[in-house]
Amino acid sequence: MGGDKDGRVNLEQRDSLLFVSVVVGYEGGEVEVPSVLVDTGSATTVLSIDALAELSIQPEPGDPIRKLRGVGGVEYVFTRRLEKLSLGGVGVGEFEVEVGALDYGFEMNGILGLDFLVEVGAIIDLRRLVLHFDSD
Amino acid sequence: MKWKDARSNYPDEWLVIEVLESSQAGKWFFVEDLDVLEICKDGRAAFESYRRRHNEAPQRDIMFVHTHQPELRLEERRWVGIRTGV
Repeated sequence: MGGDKDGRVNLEQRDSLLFVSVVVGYEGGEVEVPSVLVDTGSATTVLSIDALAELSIQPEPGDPIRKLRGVGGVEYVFTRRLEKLSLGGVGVGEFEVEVGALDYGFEMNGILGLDFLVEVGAIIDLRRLVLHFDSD
Repeated sequence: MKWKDARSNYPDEWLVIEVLESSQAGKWFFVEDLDVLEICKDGRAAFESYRRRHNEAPQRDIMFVHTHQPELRLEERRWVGIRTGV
């Protein structure tokens, strides 16, 4: 597991947006996913299927499929319960995310949504550009 | 084609379909009529086919689905997008 175990990560600024790296654990494997947008305007958390390729995550017959309807048309994702989703060495186990294509034309491997940020009690410090939370 | 016919014609298969008619009730989206575009060997193949077709023709309502699902009912969410800066 990468990062210091103090639940603190730097926010990277790109395209005037904020990104972090997260660690995903699934079926015994772990992968670091960089360039995940921190987005309190997203109710849910979504990760790119390409970024999770090493973990062999693919749609399974029983996975709920969700439809996202927006200004650019529609898009479909499937949902999957991860064994771990963490950043800065601290995070939650058993967290459900959406997995999708994320073909939006700019580099982004996922969106860390309000569901995760609330669950960990994230504090987004925009003066120091860090995201931190208590591990207990 | 109705979903029940797709299920009986293609039992236990991954499909890429085009939604031709649908209905809505609250957060739920129901597929009422569809065309089967492709039968795929697994979920990954179905997802990748959906992805390619969706990117080629985003105005068409194309999705991946497994016929294991007894009812074609999906949760629908609104997606208003991300605004990037420079």
